[in-house]
Amino acid sequence: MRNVEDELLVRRVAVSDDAGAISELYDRYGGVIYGLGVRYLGDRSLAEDLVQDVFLSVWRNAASFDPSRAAFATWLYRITRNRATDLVRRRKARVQMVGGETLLDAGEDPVREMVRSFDLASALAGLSSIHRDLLLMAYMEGLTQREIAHRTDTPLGTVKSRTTSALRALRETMLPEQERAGNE
Amino acid sequence: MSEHARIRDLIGPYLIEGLDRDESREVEDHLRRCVACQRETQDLSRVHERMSELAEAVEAPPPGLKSRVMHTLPDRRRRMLSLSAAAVFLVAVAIAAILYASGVFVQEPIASASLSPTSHAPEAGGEIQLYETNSNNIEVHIETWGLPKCERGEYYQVWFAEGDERISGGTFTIGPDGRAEMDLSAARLATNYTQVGVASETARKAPGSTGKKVLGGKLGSL
Repeated sequence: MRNVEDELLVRRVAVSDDAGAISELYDRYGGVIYGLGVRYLGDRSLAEDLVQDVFLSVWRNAASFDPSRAAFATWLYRITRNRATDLVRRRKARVQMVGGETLLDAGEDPVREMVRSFDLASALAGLSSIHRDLLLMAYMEGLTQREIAHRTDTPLGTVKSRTTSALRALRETMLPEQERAGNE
Repeated sequence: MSEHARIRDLIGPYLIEGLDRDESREVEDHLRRCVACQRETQDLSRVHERMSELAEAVEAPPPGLKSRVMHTLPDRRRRMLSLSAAAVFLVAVAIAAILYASGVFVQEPIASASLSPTSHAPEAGGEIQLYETNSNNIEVHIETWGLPKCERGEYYQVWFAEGDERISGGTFTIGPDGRAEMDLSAARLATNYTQVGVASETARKAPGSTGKKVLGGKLGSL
């Protein structure tokens, strides 16, 4: 399941109500959505509601996702932004100020940062499980190279060279986005 | 393995400060002399920065949230229990027919779309689902939020479109909280159109003309 592309998972949700597929999408993007919710809505309870609303929307509208029009990460980002806007209006919550601006009137930079987070989460999902797990341990869990070697029962030298090859693999997955960025 | 290849393999852990002091010094000495490895390091440092940003953005949701999310996903299908006795099966079929006619069974939508805002209503959003009925019309369930208030004589209209052709999916106004959720009725012909949108209209104009489009989406079939 881990190497299946996001688009295939959404298709499984649309065609066969595949709970395993939506569960995998949650594992890939739940942390990004929750973290952005905490950061931009300023409330953990609202962030939890945001995660729930987003995945309910994915479940309901999976059939309307068209990969020829937008990447999955872009589609998911738009749903997240829509739902975050709706949550704020419904709950009349105070939105945390980020750099002097709220989510509702966020200028280009905070929005671009959110999009970049979704894009990178999507790129990570495209890596092999060995590379992805290694990067998640190093960056998300903050493990040292030695700790990763111990946890995975892998020689330290192998962990070091795999770290480099994982970053290279991620660079290749991100390459079209970087080229687009260079053309902007 | 050559020294160049060995050092090149250490660029990753060097960037994440995963080398000891001696190894770091070795890498830095090599980078001073090797242009190819300098370029590789610059390239991979951009990836490293993006990963560091993501690590700051991501936060693990509370442990029970996934279970809560999975349990709130509606079951779109109701499955008949498999029955061994033919007589009981026939009775069950008869009961099911009666219940279906009375609308007890939850129907699954035949098409749906997530609605994205246009520049006329950048804070808006919505969702739309189409349902079968027993008549020549279809049921249109629409939920919107963030739309601007309707001034006197103004309202919103759902449009189904394909190229230059369009038909109406019904009209509505929004509540004081800026939200609307309702069931409208549209001609079955609407299922032939793939584009759906919401436009703000004014009662003073002729019914066929279209006001400003505020929401749009593409219908996907289920």
